[in-house]
Amino acid sequence: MEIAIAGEGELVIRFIDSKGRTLMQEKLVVSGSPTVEARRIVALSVETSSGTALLAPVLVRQSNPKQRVTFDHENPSRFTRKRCDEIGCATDVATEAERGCVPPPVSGEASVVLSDDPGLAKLIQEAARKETNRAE
Amino acid sequence: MAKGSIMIQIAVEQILSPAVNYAPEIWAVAFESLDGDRTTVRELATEKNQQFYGWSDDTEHEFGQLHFSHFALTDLWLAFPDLRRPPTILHAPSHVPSPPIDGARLALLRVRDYGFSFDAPAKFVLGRRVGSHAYLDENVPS
Repeated sequence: MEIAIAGEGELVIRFIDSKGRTLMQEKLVVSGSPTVEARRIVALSVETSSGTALLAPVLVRQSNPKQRVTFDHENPSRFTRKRCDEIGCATDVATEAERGCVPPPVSGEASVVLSDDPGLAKLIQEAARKETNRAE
Repeated sequence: MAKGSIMIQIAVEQILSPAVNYAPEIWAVAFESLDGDRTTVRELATEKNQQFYGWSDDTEHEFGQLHFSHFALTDLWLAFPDLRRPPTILHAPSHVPSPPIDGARLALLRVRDYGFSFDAPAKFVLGRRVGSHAYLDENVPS
């Protein structure tokens, strides 16, 4: 699948299997001018200890709403829904995935842990609020 | 009209669940159009950090010797409208200005890192981040 990005920003994509488990997560960050573009090509399957797992990509976060993103030339949520149906996700899993709501990567006997920047959005909001108050 | 100073940056962070025994290759590009004037690449660089832990469910099998590079592969392609003219390809790292290159219409920054897999009973978890940047100037030749 080709992920096409037009414009700056950070996005997070989770790749779920038919049971709705996230087997892979990717964060893509593009910077430059407003006209910068990017492409990432990634297979929609991975090998696991129990065989090949088919994946559906889910766009879960986007830092810049003006950044345009497509999956194989399609709107991401539409592509996610279609792919979820193809790989046999249950209706509730597909519906949540279409809305960008899927869990973080599955952990097991060992896992890689990242904070996923929980405090960053709050910090930015507080700074913006202070700036607004000062301007008033 | 030349575009002046241009920055292009791209980064990919990949986290895999331990259920997976195949790490897909990192392959991503960021690109910016140029006006076909004179381009000088000022800096081209790449960064990588990675966490990897591997083990086996079967005590009779052990991981062999593992080595992962601390570097990712980055290059910058300058492409021309005349497709008979081969692109100019510059490799990272480079921290001094390139020779001037005339006529390029597209600057394409590519970052790559190897994909790999292990057969069962081996297992692993992986988190890696690779990023690249290029700074270039496009000016009208004097």
